[in-house]
Amino acid sequence: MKAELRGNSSSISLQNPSLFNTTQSSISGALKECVGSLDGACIEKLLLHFASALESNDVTLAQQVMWVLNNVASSIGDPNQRLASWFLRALISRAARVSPPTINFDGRSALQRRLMTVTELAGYVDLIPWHRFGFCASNSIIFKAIQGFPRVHILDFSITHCMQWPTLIDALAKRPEGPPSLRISVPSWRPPVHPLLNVSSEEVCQRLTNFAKFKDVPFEINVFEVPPLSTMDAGISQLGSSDLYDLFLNQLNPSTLELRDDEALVINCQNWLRYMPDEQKGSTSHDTSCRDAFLEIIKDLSPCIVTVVDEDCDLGTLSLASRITTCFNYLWIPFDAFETFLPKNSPQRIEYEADIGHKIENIIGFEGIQRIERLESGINLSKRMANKGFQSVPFCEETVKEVKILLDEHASGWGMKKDDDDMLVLTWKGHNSIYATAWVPCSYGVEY
Amino acid sequence: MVEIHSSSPSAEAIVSTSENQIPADEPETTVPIKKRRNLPGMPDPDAEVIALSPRTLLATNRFVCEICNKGFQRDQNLQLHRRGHNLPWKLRQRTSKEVRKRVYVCPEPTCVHHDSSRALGDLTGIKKHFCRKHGEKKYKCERCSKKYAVQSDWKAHMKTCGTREYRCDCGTLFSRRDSFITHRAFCDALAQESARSQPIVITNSEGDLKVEVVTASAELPASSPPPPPPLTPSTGVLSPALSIQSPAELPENQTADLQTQPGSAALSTSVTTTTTTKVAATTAVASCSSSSTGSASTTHGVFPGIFAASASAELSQPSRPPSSYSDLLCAMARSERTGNPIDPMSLSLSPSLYLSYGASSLFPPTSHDHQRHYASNSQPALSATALLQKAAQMGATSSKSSFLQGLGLAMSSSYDPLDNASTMASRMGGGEAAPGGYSAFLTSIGSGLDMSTTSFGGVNSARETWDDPCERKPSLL
Repeated sequence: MKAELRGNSSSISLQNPSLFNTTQSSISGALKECVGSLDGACIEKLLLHFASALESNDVTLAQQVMWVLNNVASSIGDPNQRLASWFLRALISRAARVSPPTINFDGRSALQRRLMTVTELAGYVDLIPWHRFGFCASNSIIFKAIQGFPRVHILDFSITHCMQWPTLIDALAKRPEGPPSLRISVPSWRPPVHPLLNVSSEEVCQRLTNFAKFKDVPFEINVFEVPPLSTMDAGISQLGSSDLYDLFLNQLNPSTLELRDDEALVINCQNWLRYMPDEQKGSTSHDTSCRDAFLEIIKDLSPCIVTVVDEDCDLGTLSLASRITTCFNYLWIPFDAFETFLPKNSPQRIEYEADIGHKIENIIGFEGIQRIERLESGINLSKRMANKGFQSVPFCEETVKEVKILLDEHASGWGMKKDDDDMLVLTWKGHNSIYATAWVPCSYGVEY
Repeated sequence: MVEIHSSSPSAEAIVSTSENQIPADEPETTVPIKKRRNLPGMPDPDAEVIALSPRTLLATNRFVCEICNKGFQRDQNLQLHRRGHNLPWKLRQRTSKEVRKRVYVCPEPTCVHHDSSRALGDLTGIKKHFCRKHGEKKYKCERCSKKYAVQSDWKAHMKTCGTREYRCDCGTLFSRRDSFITHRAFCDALAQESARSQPIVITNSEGDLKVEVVTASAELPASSPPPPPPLTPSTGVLSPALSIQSPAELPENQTADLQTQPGSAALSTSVTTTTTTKVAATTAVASCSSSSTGSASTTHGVFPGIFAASASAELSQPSRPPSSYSDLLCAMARSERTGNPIDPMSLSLSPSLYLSYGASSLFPPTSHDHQRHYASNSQPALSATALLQKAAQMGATSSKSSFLQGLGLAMSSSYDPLDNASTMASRMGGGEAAPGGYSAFLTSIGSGLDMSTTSFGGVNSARETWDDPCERKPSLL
């Protein structure tokens, strides 16, 4: 028997290529019979086992879990299998990274970064309300807040390359009193995360300008420099240094931003705050984190409204073990949403899931300053804003209605809830996914 | 902890079993299950999880008046009705206050929502979900032949189907205005249009709000080669404000040179986001050292990165040189090459060990193994713990571990990591000749993962896809 095995094992690849042609589905099908239904609870438990293996330094158990995950995971299976495959990849990637942690999360990973065209990006943000919800709520609030101001300046901190603005421009163009003069400023640096474009921001700005012109809205758009980041390769190198963020913060002053006195300033933070590091920089209680510093700075710019939209999940400071399970229990949402309307083999779906896979890889695979995805839930963010001297602006009925209409146009699993008037939360099958809030500095005189 | 509460307050489940109008010969499994889960992500850890059978779930009259047996779809309606019976005060109260939020699981066992951590909070919601996902689609839209299982979905669709369509110059059709607007803003068609500086022609399409068929074209197609296909003669999609403007004004706007428009695009050096990242040659793993670790059970062994990180917030330096992982792989490979016997247990293909099939699919099954494999029994669902036990049995952690082989490191009889890597590299047309089987491992992950024909990380299958035209470039390139 042994000799036979030996002989056979040497010819795995050569004489039995059919083994490798076995589609994933049949292997996992076989496993499926064995394990019953491959449900999220099972995979979650496996991840819990993994987490406890980490905490107790149990290599054996860790290996076993990864082995099992390897057998149940599938990038084209059901959402749980797909999610599991990305988690496994992230764990292996972490295991593989045996070098010291000063390697920067500069986007280099085994996964290839996918670049989209602008048109693809426009489609991407509307596929599910994950981004559109935030756009709609924020635009509605901004629209109301700038009433009466002839000139408006928007500071746009987001990762979606100005996809938010066409609908606002359109709404402003349709105002009975006509549109205000609109100016948008975007930083030249953004976190190295999806969605990524295959064109420059200049091109994006150009198109948006065309559109505004087409709609007859007086329009300007600027990309303000965050040197020396913009001169680096896509500005994503050296994220390991917190100096980078200091450089960024330094640019947020009235002169660099060219703030003008006659303009209403709007600050829009869409999926942005989570990329501002939250670690205490110094040892004394007076030293603030980058995130807090950012909030202080924007408060001092005297905006007439600040919109904050982000992912409603706390992943910032948890231990690795908690992060794994929390992340799993949160990111199943987009996977499940894709499942409802994209077929299993859809390349588009696989791409979207791969984007999320990148996120998972960062959340699980890195520590310290390289873990750039530091999600904070709406509730905690609200406390932070209050601590920093902001007061919340309630959402009016009209805004709520607009958002509801938007959600009606999407799959029926999407819903919304309103937390105390001040926070709108996008839900998928009842689970919180995105929150939207609006703020003004406490000293601001305008009443809402 | 699972409890069966027969005295559960307002337990519709109980009501329906005892007094419903469904024929009694149908067995009902209407057991409310209470579970407490405090894991993050659970919408409401204190919620009561209720599992209903499909019949009960879909029964239109789940709530029945005990007095006159009249059925209602909703509990509130039942309560309203009960008031009309002039009950004595004691009986008028509901059996007890409902204090606990309820969440419901889907009765379909294979469904992701069958699990209580994925329960849905709304009864109507779970009903609709069940119909939608697991039910028969009885309703069909006449216009577009879309089918629906839930009547309200169908009705909602009928309202919008074909009534509102937005068409961009580029030919794409949208049913939602905001997606149309966003697309249009960035569409090539608009960019070309602005460059051409043509007058905008507006025809009235604003009057009828219900039926709007608008195109984005603001240009007479005849005037210049229009962007590709179906363009109707232009109708304005412009807002009422714009349509009020006389056409004469607009050409002025259009002809204004974009470049000269003050401050329109005060663009600085752009930051390109076009990064194509190189594949991770991030491992500092040296080429496969000659030491063999054999066992992987030392703390400093296989995954120093993982463990060190969990011990503290930072990754600490593994005290062993990074080659320990590759040591393991090399040891594996070597054992493979020399034909070390694989743990016989791991090849056990008894029907109960379907997991072993998963592992041993990489071992050549002998004919009798095949037969044994197909002699399948249906097995009860295995818990995560049981799976891990099997993993242990499979020898997932031994040096001849099928796990790592399963990750595709068992390449060929003459497995030599260096050879292999360079072979792969040359196959890739000059990708980095990364040393060591370890990079081969990484490469296989990087390139092999998303191909439908591959199993996760299987290098051999990855090799097949490298040879095949594939949807994504392998990451080494």
